[in-house]
Amino acid sequence: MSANAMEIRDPPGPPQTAPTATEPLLAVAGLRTHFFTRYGIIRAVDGVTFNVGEGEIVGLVGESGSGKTMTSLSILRLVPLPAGRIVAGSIRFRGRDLLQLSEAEMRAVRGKQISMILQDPLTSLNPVYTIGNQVAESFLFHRDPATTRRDIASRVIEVLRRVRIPAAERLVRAYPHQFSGGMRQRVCAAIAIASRPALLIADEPTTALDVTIQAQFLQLLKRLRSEANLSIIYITHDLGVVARLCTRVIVMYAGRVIESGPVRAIYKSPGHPYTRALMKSVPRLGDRHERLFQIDGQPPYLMNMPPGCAFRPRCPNAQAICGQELPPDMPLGEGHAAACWFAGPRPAAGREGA
Amino acid sequence: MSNSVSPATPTSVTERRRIGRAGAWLRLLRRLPVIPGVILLAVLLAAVFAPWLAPHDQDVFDLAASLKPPAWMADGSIDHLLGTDNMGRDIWSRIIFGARISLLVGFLAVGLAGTVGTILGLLAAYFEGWIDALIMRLVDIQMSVPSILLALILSAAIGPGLTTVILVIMIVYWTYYARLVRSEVLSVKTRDFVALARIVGCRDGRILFRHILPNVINSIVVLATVQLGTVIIFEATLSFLGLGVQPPTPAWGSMLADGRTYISTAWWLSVFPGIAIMLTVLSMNLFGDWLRVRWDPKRRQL
Repeated sequence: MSANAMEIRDPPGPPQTAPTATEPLLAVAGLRTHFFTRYGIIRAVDGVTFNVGEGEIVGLVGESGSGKTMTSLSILRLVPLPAGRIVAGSIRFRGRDLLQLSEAEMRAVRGKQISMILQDPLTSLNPVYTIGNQVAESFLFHRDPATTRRDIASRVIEVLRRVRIPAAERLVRAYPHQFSGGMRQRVCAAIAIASRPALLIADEPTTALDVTIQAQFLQLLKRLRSEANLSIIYITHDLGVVARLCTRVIVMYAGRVIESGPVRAIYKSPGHPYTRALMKSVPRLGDRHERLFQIDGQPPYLMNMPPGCAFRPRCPNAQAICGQELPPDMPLGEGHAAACWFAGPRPAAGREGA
Repeated sequence: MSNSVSPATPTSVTERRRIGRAGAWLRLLRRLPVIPGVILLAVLLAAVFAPWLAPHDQDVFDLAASLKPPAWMADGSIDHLLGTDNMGRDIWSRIIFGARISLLVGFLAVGLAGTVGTILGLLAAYFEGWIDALIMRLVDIQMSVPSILLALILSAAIGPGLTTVILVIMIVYWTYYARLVRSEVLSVKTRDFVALARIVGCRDGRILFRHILPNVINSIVVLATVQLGTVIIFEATLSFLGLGVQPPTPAWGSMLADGRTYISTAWWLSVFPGIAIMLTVLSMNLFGDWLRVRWDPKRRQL
């Protein structure tokens, strides 16, 4: 899927509202979400800082357990209780710190201003209700008292049209099991955008879809972005998708952001050895190698993290200092930084063109 | 399948149609619980229309006609179809009236137990932690108390009667619902649509009753149907022990008990109420099995 990333890439599209002097839509700073278990503290998110501007699509990349999903659940303040807790940091959304809101205020933010699409469309919809019913629910919660039942019905059909569901009038009465995976994910997208949120968090929404449906769905997300000036945080471990969709990338490893920057800069000259290794592990068509590239070793166990850089045990060019001190963010260019003592614009071996 | 008939075994069109029709009936019988349905309907009608259906008053003594055998035996008369008991009361009429108690206790007690158990099971599974521990330990304790002992204690405390029977059954049977609902909710609540409901901004109450409960209601209904039979037997047991509905109101269990001193001379006193219990419970179990096959989430995927 990543092999043809370059061909399908769209022209830059509508001009990006860059996160400039005005405050960005979402500003996460120093976020720490820890899990307090019987056996010790798991630092799932350990000091994450990033911004999302209006109308921007940001890719959040990292392997399983790197804290991507926990970061997004923290933004919605839905960290699994009772073990999980946000212990430090701030999440400023439209000028308000979400961590300071009451639970009732937070419920008004969820769904209405920030919504989410989950990975598996097969379990994301309730099997006992019709599609129309489930889309209508997001209207029911955040409506002004004047809306009637008929208003809601017509808005349900309208929003299903916006996610390009054919014959929406008929399909509102269908049940989830009558839909294919791609269609179900569209319904999920409809539910997510129904109340016109400003920020959409998409947690690997195409992982369960096959490649052609995946391409369609990405197109849909792009259109929704430009139609509704929607900002999207796109969580994935698929670098090809990131290249096609996103304007900026945030790479996470072991609960920390290790590199962030514009897509072009990162694909051209990844600064962190982990990012470089990630790009090398993308299989490519026409490669004659017998074995696919892999990063040696295991991701660290979050319970007892080594001091210093979390990637050091697997890093090909680790030095003494890496095991002693946490590397700071090294600026590498316009909005591009990597947390590595030896971050440098080293070309990613044979991955140019993106 | 009929078009796979080989030319070597010629069958006429009419014959094939006849087989087809009989096959259709067989298939219907297999697919729908016709016989249990008819029996249950009869019991239900008997309970509702008992005063009009019963040929005699259910508790008028007629000592001159006591211990009359059923109609088809030498001494029997068509007036008392299933004979009379030691007080000369018509057994057929008392069985018809007895259906009222059995069904009333069955539905009411199962309904109450189901409601209580379902709510507690939902809460336990959804909130986990100490709520779960508390409720499930309560279930464990309840399940270790002998139900007959509980019935004896309760009827000693508040006196025997219909209320006692229903209370005892509720206290004994809610635990099954709590366990079933808890286990199902534990799996349903991890599914993404529950997480999405929370993301959309639902409160806990709405998630529990609007999103999770409809996904487990099938299993609850199936358990309730299967339990109806058990509960009716339990009610009969309590009536047999004299802890249930008090005489002269007829209940199948107490009729059985009353007849046991005459079992060697007048078997019909105990046998017919016993058959009534057996047929009703058997029908309910068959009906419940049918529902389970249709609704069980494990087989529903077919």
